Amino acid sequence: MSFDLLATAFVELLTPSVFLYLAIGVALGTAIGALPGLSATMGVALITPITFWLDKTDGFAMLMGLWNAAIFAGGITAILINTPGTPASLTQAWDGYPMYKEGKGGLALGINVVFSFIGGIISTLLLILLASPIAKVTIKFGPAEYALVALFGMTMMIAVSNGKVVKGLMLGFLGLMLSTVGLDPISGLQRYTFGNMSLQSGISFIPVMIGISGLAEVFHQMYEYNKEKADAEREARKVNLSLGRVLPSREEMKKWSPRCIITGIVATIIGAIPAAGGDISAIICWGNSKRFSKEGDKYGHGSAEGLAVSATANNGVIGGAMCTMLTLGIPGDAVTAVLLGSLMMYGLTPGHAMFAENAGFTAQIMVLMVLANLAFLVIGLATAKVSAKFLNMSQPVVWAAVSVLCIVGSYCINNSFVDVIVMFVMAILGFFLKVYDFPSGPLILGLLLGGTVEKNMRTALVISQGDWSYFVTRPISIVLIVMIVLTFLFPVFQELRKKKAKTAEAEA
Amino acid sequence: MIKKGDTIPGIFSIFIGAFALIHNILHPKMNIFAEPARGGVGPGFIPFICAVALIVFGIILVVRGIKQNGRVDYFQMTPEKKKNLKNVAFLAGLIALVLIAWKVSTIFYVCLPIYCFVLNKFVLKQSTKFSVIFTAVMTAFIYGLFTIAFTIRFMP
Repeated sequence: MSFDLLATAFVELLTPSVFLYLAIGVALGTAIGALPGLSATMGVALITPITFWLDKTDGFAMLMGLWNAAIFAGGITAILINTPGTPASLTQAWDGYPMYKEGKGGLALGINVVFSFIGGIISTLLLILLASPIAKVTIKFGPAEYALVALFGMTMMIAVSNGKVVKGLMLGFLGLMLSTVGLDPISGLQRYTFGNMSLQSGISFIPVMIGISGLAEVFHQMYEYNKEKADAEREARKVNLSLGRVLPSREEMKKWSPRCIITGIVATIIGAIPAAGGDISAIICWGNSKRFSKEGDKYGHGSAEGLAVSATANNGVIGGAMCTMLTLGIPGDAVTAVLLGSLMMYGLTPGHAMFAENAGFTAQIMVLMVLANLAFLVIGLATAKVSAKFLNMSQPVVWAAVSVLCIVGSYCINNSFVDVIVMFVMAILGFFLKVYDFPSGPLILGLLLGGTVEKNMRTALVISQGDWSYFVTRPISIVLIVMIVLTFLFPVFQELRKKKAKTAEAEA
Repeated sequence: MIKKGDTIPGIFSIFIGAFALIHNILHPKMNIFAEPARGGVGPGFIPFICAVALIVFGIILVVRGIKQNGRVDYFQMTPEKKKNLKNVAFLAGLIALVLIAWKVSTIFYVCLPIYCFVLNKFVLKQSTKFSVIFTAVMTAFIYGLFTIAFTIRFMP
């Protein structure tokens, strides 16, 4: 990505509407992140339908603002009520909450904002530096490679299964099956449409996402609701402990920054690995930092350094996840899965085309990420103490608002009533999936990438006149096949190793 | 006892897989294979693989559920959870009714306030005052943002 292109993108983004939507996105993201039970994925899924009615740049300004802010704001609940707003904020609760109890809540909130910003900026800079060279490799990609890259993305359904491999694979295949609804990409035959015209174009991804991560979450939270416990938590939140100063001192910044720069780089690399999200990044970075730090024994007991590392790792994955999404079309996490769906709905194809035909817009996305980080730094610091007030909103109010937005949002994407039905059916399915302890990630991956796998696989087979060896005679394809096989075999080896260790332990 | 564990999701998976498989077999054009000039695989290839996989994984889950013999219980029903489940069913039923009413009447801005009020007052047990305020604010927000600003007409 050349400097000229980025400079042009920056100048093009200097419009009041971009700043307005960016600010709205950051404000919404901060509120969503600070409200227990709402996640960045849910926020992005609910807001995406609105962005389709805006100019492409304005829409992405809002999405980038919301995403970046929601990830940092997940740390607010972790610090103030010991409840991580997102799974990635888990380690922030370990250090942030003890700091809050010691009367250093303001400093903890400040560290969360400042080091989330540092993580986000490092990650975005690496995205700017690395995305273009990776995209250049994709010039050599044909249908066989694209099919295999998408298949590689789908193999991540094992990784996102959280150890429930059979359940994950079952849902992955269900998602793949749902992706075949509509017109066959090669012959144009209608599949599973049952004469319904609205299903000819297939099942839209965004309503599915809204159903599973929005309304299903409301259903599940209602099911798990314990009024006495919720009331007790609300009362506990009303106790105003002293928050103290917000900004870290210059010495503190100097002391923590080198460690956090390394953390930012590591987090970006972890973020670029499909399915390895902020939670994995935060735990790996926090764990390693604890091991190598002089004050490692303080980690988990209110260490400001530990909190700084966690906050950096949390937002550091965003650039990495975007890199994989923009260059290879594989979602790095659930939010990039929704963004990938949005890009496709805008008619944009990730890969080399994003950096050749739509280079201007791609540069704008990258600059928007930098601006989003700056915006949440300013808004986050200014509202650090006020943000605690959000936590007092009761869950039933949030459920009511989210359920309305799910219905309206799913309709707005295509002005389609069928999309609302799809969202509703997926919400009911999603609720039972949560109750029966199924991971929903594989279903999303299967639905999102299934179409790409089938279309490219069959195009490659048409080119090769039905010869399957076409997939193993191209160098890049071979590398991808090896990666796919390793991804499948890794959990098996891991399981075998665990069994061996258990047997050895039992014998001992 | 077997209904407590993984058996029911397993049966669900087998049912979907079998349905897709039968649909494939009965459909005259959903061929699994095609002539080499058309790539060798037909429009039924991926659905066939998925259907078979769903049946296989479904069987694994059913067997696992039987082996669990009631030890794993996903629906552990305390009196509070029973009440919560009723509320979830009430909300799902309310949404279904609102969607039907929207489809039949085609007037979204009548269905929306009714949904907001009933949801708050009877499902979430909020006060009448709060329910009325929420209904008014939410309806005005949706109307202002979606219908005035984005010109969406909400026609089913």
